[in-house]
Amino acid sequence: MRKRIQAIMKKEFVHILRDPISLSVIIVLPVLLLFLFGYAVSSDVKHISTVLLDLDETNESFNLSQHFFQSGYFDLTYKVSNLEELSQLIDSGKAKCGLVIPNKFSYYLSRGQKAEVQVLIDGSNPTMAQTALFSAQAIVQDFNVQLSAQMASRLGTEIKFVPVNLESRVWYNPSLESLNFNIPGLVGVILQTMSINLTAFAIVKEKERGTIETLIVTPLKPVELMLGKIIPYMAIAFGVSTLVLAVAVFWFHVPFNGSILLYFFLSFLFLASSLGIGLLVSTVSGNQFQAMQISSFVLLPSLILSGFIFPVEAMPVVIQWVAWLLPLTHFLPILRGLILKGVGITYLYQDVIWLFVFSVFMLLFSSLRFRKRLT
Amino acid sequence: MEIIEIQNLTKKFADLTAVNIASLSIPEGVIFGLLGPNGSGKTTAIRILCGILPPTSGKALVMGLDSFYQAERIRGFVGYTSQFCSLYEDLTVEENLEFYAQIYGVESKAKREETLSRYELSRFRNRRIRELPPGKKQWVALACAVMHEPRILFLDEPTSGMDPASRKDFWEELSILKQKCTILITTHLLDEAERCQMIAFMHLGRVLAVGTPREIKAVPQGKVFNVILPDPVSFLSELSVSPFVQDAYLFGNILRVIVQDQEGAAKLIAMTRDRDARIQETNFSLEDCYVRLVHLEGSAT
Repeated sequence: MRKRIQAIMKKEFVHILRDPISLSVIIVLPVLLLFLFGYAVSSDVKHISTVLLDLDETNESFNLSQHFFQSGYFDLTYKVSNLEELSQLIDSGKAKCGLVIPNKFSYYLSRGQKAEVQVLIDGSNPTMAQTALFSAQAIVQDFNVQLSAQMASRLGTEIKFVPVNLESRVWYNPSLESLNFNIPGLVGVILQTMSINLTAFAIVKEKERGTIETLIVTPLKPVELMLGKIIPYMAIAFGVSTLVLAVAVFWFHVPFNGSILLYFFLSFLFLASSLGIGLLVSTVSGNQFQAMQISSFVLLPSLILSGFIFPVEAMPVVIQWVAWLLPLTHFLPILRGLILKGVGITYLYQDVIWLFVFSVFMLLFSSLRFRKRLT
Repeated sequence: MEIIEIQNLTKKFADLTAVNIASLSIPEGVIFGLLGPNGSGKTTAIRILCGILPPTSGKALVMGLDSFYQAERIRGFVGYTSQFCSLYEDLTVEENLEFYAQIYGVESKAKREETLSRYELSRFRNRRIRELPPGKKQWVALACAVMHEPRILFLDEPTSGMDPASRKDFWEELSILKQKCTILITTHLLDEAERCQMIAFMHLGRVLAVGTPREIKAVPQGKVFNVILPDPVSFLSELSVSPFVQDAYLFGNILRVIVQDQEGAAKLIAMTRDRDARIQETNFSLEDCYVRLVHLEGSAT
């Protein structure tokens, strides 16, 4: 039995090595994806082009606008003298944001009254708009704190009307770097995509070429064929995901706070669930094209619903149920918990149990189907 | 009990009955040819015997065991090459051999080397299968199927794509292999059928006749003529409406005409008189028998 499994495994490795295109896709694509996420698809918004309308033109108003434009979030692209010009620039899309300082800004401040500034944001890109909004609030608050300190020292009394500094802190990803959030997810996505597709393709290819018929007539048992097919691709998926993680940690400096051993163990569990799906896909498809279409039934919802891009909690309840069925939905919190928070199994056990149950069920079901299909 | 026994075997794909064989026995140690055109059910029959497909009804016994439901007990004893020459195209000749040797549990490397040299594959050993000419691939497939010295060898259209010289060598090899195992081979080439000890004609899933080539040729009654003339096609259409002609068909540019008796022969000769034709009586070939049997089958149903 071991000899026959080894024979299949050896053959599979030769297949992969002889196919330079697939080989490079297997290795290069995940790393390429990582660099795309790392450099291009950053959801952090900085350098928002901003138009300034300063009707006050005093030291205080200058001080406030300096706060804005030195924060890095807003770039002073235009300076206008009336509201009409400002709205034109935003309408045309030349500026994404407008900062309006009214003419009695410093007057109110000097009299110890509440002064107002207005920020106008182009909301057509919600991500950008949200960042701009939060940044503006933070900047104004920061300004308030400084100002009240100054006024207090000048007047020698406590300033009561300045609101309490409402500092909102973001946990685990204090710099709000989307990379730190995205990369653990990406590792999961790569693990899943590769293991499902590679196993499904490896088996379906035998059907397509007709070699499966010859194999059926040999003493090779279905379970031997299955293991011989699964093990090499499991190793590859594992290797590539580790590579991606290594690049993330050493190149992009994503902090790895958890236990690496636990990471490997839980990835293994997740892989088992994906391989089960891959096996199932192979039993229902007759050629590689079908296999690809069928596997995208799992892969596409996984990308969208698992929380890789959008938070599951924000989805309608029915969709959340669907999301909960997907293994990736359970693996992502594990990955993020492990990598970013550094938490242990005590915090992750619910997702781990679910993954375990899913994997056992899926592997049993698909190997029974696989067996039935072969004999 | 014979090494292969078929009893009331049918295989249906939706509405199509691909195989419907009432009974067929194949004795040990022969080369048994399944003959028939494409779509006659040869491949389906062989796939059932190999345990790839379950029969719809009836039984196929191989070495006394059910070919499908007891397949696991048969597998080490059979070798199979499929119609499409199912080797791994991106693996070399030697890697394919090594793979099947490991799957069949053939440990000895000497056995592999011997097989390689016996089939004159040694100089191709490092070539990938996809770089081989189609004829050579079938030799590799055969090599992969015989290393474990099977008792039964199933060969589905093994000589397709081979040149005549290669085919001759292949059949010589089969007669050597026959000393140790039973060979079931499918072909649509009737000259190959002459080299089988026993043949079965298949047509639309049914077996029309079984026996040695000589027995089969002895069955039909009548006389066969070769007719060579300038415009065989128009003459053929004339013959097909002549009641005394049992069968007439073109074999290359020679018309073969089967008539029932001496009277029919005289009428045929009379018809050819003004046509600048050469006419000659011959013996029944397997081709004639096949055409005759299909014709009789058609008029019977």
